[in-house]
Formats: sequence, structure tokens, C-alpha cells
Amino acid sequence: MNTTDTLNPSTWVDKYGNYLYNYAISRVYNQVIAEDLVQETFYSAVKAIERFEGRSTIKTWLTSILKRKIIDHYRKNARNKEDAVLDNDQFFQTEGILKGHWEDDQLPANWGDNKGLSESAEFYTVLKECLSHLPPKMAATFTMKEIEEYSTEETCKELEISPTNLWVMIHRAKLRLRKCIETKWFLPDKTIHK
Amino acid sequence: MNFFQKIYIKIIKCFIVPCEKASLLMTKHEFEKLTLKEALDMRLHLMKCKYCRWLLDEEALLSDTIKNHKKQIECNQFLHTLSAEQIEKIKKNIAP
Repeated sequence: MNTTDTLNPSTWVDKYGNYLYNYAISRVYNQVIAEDLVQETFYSAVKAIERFEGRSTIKTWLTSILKRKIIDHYRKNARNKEDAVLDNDQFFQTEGILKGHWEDDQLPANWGDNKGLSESAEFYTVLKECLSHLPPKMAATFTMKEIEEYSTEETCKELEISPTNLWVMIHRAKLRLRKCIETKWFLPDKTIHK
Repeated sequence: MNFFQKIYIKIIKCFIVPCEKASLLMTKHEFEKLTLKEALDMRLHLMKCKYCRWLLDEEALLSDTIKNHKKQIECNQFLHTLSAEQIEKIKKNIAP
């Protein structure tokens, strides 16, 4: 480990600032919140510098502090009750002989050939915008499982939800994201087929 | 919908779970092992329903996109950059 790194925290900002900033944006989907979290991460790290034992790199240590800050942010958001109001999309029929079948206006369309699309920065940017529109608790649940790859137990414990509720939330998050990206990316050029 | 179509749907429903249940199982399957019954319910449904097959492919594309972006960040390929002003602000706040 480079000792000048440890002795001079302001060099951390030049070296790892953009990494932490992008890391945070890809988990909270908001640049202003991400900047605050990065700021708090550096501040906490400087205050706790004597606890850094050099067993990991500075980058790993800073990332672990940021991860905790992100979870605290999720927990704070998860406490408010607005998800129930925001999550009002009806994807499936709720009554009649076709109960549980897709609503007509929610039927997935065929997106056709998507080779290479998963590596496109433009496609990710649209997806990130869709992620930023998810209700807060749903976004937190989705991100902890899909991106951070936390276990079901850890996610449920941190966000205070039941495992059944966790699957329903991730399921609904995915349905909303799919619909959102279909509308924003695939519909404008009309290359999809029903 | 005529009488025979209704009968047909009722018979199908005895063997095949609805899209809502099948798509929930698809999500669960991505992260955890399904029970034998759950796996069978999902497979049977996917054989029958093209919409849920499209859903499966499309959700996989979204997962891949997110995972690729995560890898790009680990390789220091950034979509966003802190401005000189933001960097100075952070440095000022952590200065002794």
C-alpha cells in the first residue's frame, strides 16, 4: 500500500472521487444524492482514519463506507409510505375468466434483435432514468438484490420486509422497468412487433 | 368470447398457472432455486405463452445491461465526472 495515500486524504478525492461518484449514481440514480453520499463518505473516512488498518486498499475501504451510506439512504427512504401510492400500475387482470393474464395494454412486445445493446451507454442511460422513476423502497429492494447481490436475508433485514414481499417488489420493479424502456427506447422507432 | 373458448380456458387453467404467477416465478428463479412444482409451473407456462417468453428475454437484457455497467465502473469507465468545483468542495470539507 502507498503510504502517501493514507497520509493525505485530499489525494483520495482526485484518485477515487469519480469511481465513488459513479458507484453511487448507479445505486441511487440521482447525481445530487450521489454527490452528497460521496461527500459524507470522504468525511467519515477522514474522521475514522486511525481505524484503517491497511488490510485492504484505500479504494476498497472507501467503497465499504459508501456502501453503508447507500444502505442508510435506502433505509431512510424505505420508512416513508409513498410506495403504496406510487406503485399503482395494473399489469395483470384482476377479475374474470382471464384473471392473472396480462392486461391488454401491458402485453410485452417483441423487441427483436438486441445484439450488443446491453453494452450501450445510451441504452443504460435510458434504463437509469427508468430506475430513477421507481418508487423508493422498490428501487432499493431491486438494487440491493440485482446490483449489490445481497442475500435475501440481508436485504429483508435492512429494509424490514418479508421474503414474500421482496419477490413481489422485485417482480413489480422489473415489470415497470421493462414497460418503461419499451416506451422510451423501443416504441419511438416502431421496430417492435406484437 | 364464445362458450367453447371459455371451456378451453377453464381446462387450460387447471394445468397452467396464469402469467402473473409465472412471471413472479421467473423473477424468483433468477436469484433462488425453485421447488420442483414451481419450476414445472414456470416451464409449462413458458411453453404455452409467447408474451412471458418475451418478458423473460427482455428482463434478461435489462439485467445484463445493469451488470455490464457495473463492470465498466469497476474498470474505471465512467459515465459521470465530478467537476473541478465539486472536487474542490469535497476537499475543502475534509481539510483539517
